[in-house]
Amino acid sequence: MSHCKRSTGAATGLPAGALLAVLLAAFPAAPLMAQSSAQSSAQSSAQPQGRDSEPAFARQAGAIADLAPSFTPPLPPSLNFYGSPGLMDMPSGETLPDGQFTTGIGYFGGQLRYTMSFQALPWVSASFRYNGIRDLNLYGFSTYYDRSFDARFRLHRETRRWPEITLGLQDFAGTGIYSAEYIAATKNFVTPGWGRAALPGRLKLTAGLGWGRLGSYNSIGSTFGARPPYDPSGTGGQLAFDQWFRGPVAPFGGIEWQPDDRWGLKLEYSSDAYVTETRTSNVFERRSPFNFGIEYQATPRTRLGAYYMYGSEFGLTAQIQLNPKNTPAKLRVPAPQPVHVRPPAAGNPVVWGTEWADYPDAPVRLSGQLSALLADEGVVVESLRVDAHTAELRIRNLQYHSHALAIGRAARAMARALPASVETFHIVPLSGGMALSRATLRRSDLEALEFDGDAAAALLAVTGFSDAPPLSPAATPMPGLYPDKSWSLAPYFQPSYFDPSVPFRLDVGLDLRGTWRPAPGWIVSGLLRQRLAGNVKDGRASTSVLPHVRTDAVKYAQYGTTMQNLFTAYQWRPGRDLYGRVTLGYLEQMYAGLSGELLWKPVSSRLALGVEANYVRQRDYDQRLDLLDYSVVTGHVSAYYEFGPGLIAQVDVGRYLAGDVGATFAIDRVFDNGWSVGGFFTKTDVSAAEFGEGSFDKGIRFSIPLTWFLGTESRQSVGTTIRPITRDGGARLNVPGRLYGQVRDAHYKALSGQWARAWE
Amino acid sequence: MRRGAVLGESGLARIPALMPALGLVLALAGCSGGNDRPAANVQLMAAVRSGVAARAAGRGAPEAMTRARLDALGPGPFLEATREKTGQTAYLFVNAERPDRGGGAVTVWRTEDAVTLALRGGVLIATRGLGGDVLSTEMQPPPSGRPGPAAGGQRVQHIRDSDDGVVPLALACAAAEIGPETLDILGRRYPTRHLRERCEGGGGIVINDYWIDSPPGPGGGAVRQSRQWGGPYVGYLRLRRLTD
Repeated sequence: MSHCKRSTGAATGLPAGALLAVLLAAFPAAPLMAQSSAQSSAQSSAQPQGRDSEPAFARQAGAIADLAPSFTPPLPPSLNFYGSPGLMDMPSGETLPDGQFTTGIGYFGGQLRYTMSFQALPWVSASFRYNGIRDLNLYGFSTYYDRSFDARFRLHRETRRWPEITLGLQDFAGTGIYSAEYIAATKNFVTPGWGRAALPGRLKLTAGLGWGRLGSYNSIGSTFGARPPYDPSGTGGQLAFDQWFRGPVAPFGGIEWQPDDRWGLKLEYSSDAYVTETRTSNVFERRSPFNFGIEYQATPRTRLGAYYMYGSEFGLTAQIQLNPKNTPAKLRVPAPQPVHVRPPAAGNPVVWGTEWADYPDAPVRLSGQLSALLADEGVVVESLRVDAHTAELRIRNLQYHSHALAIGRAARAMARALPASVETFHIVPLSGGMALSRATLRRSDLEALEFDGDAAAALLAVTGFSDAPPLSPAATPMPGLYPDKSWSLAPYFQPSYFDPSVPFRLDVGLDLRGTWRPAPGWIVSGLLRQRLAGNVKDGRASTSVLPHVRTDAVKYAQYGTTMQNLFTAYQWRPGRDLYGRVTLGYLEQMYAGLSGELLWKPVSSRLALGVEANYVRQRDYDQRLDLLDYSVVTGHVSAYYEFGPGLIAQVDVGRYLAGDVGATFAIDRVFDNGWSVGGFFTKTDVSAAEFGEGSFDKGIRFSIPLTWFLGTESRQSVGTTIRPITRDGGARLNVPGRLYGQVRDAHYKALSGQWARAWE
Repeated sequence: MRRGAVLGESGLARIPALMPALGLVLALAGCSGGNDRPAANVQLMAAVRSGVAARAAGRGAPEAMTRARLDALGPGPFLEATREKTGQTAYLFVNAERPDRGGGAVTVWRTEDAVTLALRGGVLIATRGLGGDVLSTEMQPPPSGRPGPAAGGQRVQHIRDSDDGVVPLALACAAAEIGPETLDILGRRYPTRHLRERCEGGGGIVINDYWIDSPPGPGGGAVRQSRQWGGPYVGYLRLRRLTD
């Protein structure tokens, strides 16, 4: 089945935070990849330079180092203990670059905060935080762990006169221990050079007003009446509209001075009195409102900081900032063979003749040649239909995350292998035997445009994209492709997050996967898992009042040798713009049954509609062949819509695993290179009390293509879905091979965004 | 980070207990068969292993090219290319040649390890296989297809960026004669004229140097040697025509 990027279930995937923090932060510092080592080390040794949009900073830096234009992005704003752009405990008015994906880890005075943030739009960012407060000794926990969400909105962009202004909502939906609102403004100034390099430095002045936690010290007044108190007994999860911008308001501010591109000094005045931590409890002693810090940019993506906080505590931060648009290792693809140009038709009647088409063995011979040419490129030829003037090639793209590149390579192979009279090339990418779309190119255009000044745009303008027609009976299938067997033995890492007593648990072991494809569209696949070590099995037992459709994970984790899935599926094209799938068997760790899906998605449409219906029974905890008594009919009607800068909105309405009825709303930012980051929430007819902690199901998800950090081509990606808490309401089935992700990858929006790669 | 201090009683403290199992997993990982590409974890492990192996092996310095070795390679034109960023040198053969509008030609040079450079009349217009490549270049063709750049005008490099797209980089260029120079390339002497091109744009300055056969000779001459900028990622390339 294809590697559907959107199908990552809660159970699968790598331990997100740990993996990313270690792996990605380590890459620029200690390049492991042979091919990428040159670029990576060059990056880490080079001083980050400004781009042309940056003021005098960049140009003067260039005068000393290298005069040539640079695409290295300027140093992003530094992060505070909450993982937001800011000073130490206080936020600033700065905004991160569009798409920035950050991880901030901060520790001081017995408090650890671990925050992931994403700049979803140039003016909107969202964060998810996990924090631990040691010795709080409140609410029945000695160490108090909590999760929280933040949102930040840029109100005004920095101009020559005016500062950047940001409005922030901190911990706006959790149980609320960190809840605060603020408006902060920051202005940048260029300072004279300092030290050996003598490059200009930067001074940032920040001032702001805070409410809630940030309005608790030396408040200057109060707005909109009294603020309702923090209620630890609540289930949390609801938006705390009734608190926002209410109660005491206090000013805060600070200075950050970056004398060069490596070092930073910070000074702030904090308006957070730490009432709960220092008065109600005794986590640390707050002696002063002033905090001091020094930071060092260790690698282009990692910044480290040390601080003296509140006159009594030392603190540390590690800030890791990635941007999907800036790879740690530039992707290297072996150069293609230049397009083979035909001799002119005039004077070459033999070359341009069409008699070859009358030979019955011509298609077999030609498809064999194409297959041989493309085998080295990681493209499998499935079938060829060819006549004197037109050819249609169906391909399976095994290697390239971009179908555009596979289409380009196929077109070059066709220009090399096919007789001169074939002028029209149709190329159809397949996924699991199902035709996804059809790109139509004129051979003369390929020949004429290869060295055109703007080859990518020129080729896009003359390429047609359309629905792939049914396979012609005249097509010659490539012999020997079916039946097809594959297997792999791979390690797995299964994390379990946020148990209040042990916030991070992990199982590791081996996965043995076998796949058999008897015919195009058909697949039989199974996954056996052997745990080698881990502690997920020691987790909390479920106390849910709903049917235990997801909360019995600990019961499932008791068994070391399990069958994760074993199913057969068929996917096909029921009609124009329609895609279908039927899956039968042990679908996932917890459910077995029958699943059917139908998707409507015209090639050039931003809108897709889908319907999925499943009848499943819960599997026995040992995950062998037995089933439990619980069964349910679950299914959804889905709408997907692509808009703006790579946003995909998805709404699913239907019946969930516990029999509850409701809707899921999701939004993902998808980049042309395959990165995606998004969030979702589900509201059903289960009440907040029945649901339990969190009130309703919600979470964040991300997926990073391996290509992005390996610098070599791959269709695989790593990623995960993180829920603050997994409960039984609003829970969905994890069916392998859902259609939308497979289909969207090869449709107009995705292909046109990556079309430059057709020439690569 | 004193992370363990905060989560002392928690799961992270138990991670070391997983280490033996993790070691076994790493040792066993990465087996697969059949047409499908391996799973993500297998690819990650393989990349780490090959990276470690490459680092252990180190980068051997290439043997210096001599006229005798060159003759042993056989007939046909060869181009020597050195990437200044990495100091790596490669020898390229002609992969394809295309007649161009205005009587010139586009020549695609290729290395053994699948890197290509496309030159229009000796001026770099595209690279492939280096990472962060120049996908294409809009430029003024030199009059009557003579080698080297046009006297001046706008040039736009289309640079492959990390989000699978292209970023156009517009440069305003002007070329000036420096004067005649005689080059010595592996023991052969070539009379040339030195042409220097200065381009501004994208917040920086690019200097390209060309040494063009002078007099042109019977074949119309060629850019004998050059130092050209291949975009912000590839950087400067030094090119020498070793044989015709």
